[in-house]
Amino acid sequence: MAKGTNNAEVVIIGAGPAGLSTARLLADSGIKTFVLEKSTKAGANNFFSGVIEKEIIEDVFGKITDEESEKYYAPIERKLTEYRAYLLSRDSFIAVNERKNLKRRFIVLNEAFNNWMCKQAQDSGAKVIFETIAEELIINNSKICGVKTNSGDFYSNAVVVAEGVNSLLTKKSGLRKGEISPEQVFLFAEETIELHSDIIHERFNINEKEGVSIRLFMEELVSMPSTGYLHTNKNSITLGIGILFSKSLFKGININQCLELLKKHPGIYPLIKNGTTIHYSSYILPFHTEEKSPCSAVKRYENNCLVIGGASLLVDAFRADISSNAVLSGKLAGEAIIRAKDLNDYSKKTLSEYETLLKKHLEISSYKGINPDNNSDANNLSLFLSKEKLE
Amino acid sequence: MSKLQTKPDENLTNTIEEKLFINQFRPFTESHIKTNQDICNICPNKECIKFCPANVFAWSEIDEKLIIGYENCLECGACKMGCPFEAIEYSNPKPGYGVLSKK
Repeated sequence: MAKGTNNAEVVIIGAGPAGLSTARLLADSGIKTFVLEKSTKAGANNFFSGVIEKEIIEDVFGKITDEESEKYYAPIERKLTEYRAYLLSRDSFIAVNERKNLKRRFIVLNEAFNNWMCKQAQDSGAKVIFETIAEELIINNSKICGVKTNSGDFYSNAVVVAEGVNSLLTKKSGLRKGEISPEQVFLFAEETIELHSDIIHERFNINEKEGVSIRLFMEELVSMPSTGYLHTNKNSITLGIGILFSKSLFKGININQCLELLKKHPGIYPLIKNGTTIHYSSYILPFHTEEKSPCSAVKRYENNCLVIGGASLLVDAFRADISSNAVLSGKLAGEAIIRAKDLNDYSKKTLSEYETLLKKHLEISSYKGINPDNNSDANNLSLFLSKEKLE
Repeated sequence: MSKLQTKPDENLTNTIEEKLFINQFRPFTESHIKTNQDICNICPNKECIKFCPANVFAWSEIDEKLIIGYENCLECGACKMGCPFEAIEYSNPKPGYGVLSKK
């Protein structure tokens, strides 16, 4: 390790759900950990859908709710008490509801929740350094030994790349072969629409302690492979749509056109009517089929280096709880690094433990339904119903 | 399809321009997106103009070149994947610049 104040045992690139999970685990074990974040605060520009899985989050970040008093320790919008699936055709829709008072999933606003995760990692002792962009990996004697940034060089025994799906460094450093192809991703657009909570309660038939998440199937509506979601927050509704990027390129259709089509649909419009749009964002997520997964192009472990979360392309456009795979991969990377530290060996061979753990614990769904030439709403719906059961 | 909707909802946005107006941006003086104009000039379909969720790309008939409105970029990264000629180079905006957090 070179001399200097910018030395840590582990440097993590990106303060999203994945990077912060590794940071929390390492810091809890007394490992000196730096997290480099390009924005002015954590999660300023990240997307993990509004639904979180309590068990997975609590395993890493500590209690988010108290079951007895229903008190929240983290910024939770609503408890998820009802799943719906809407199959939208051009001018009508079929709805399936499943309602149950469970304590497993919660609706959050990404930024507030990401800030909380950041605070938890900081409380454990991880140092989060903002406004710092990882420009390239520092390689000495063919060994990754740090990160070059706009605020100086950082040296460490191990580097964890957690920069998200829009992963520039992963490609630049050869950890991912080539550019991600438009056939492998969905392009999403999302709007947050403000509405008084009383109106939300009335329209969704819920009270202030309850929340609804709707999965939207609308291939017939947008005439291409697509997915959509609607979550009820406290005082707003999050509405998002994703379309197979290659297909939208081919057809010359903008994602916002699809979002507008969705907003005006007779199944959706009554829910968002008279609301005020308060935020608009766009992002990309990979998906996986049985035959092909974009994550095969990523080297998830190297000498002194691990790639996790969105950057590893292990996240999944079709999961309601997108953060779960990111948090899990971050946690498993943390475990692999703790073991490497015990052995004082950060070689590829030791860090391959991460891959072994991933295969054991991480569930990557495989969607047979994603066939660009096949209208597969019914297929996706049946898969959704079999997977998303509340219990 | 929008038969049920008789008049437009005033507070709900429709166009990308309206939506971008709600967001807060802090643009740097220099673009974080660069294109190879030689390729853009002869690109037959100019897909980027159609697919970008923030309408960052536009064709200027007067200058006969691709204009990059990087100030409104939502930083999704679609452009570098979507350009069929790999003529778009996307980098992260300078720290502290770009699209700002939700509130």
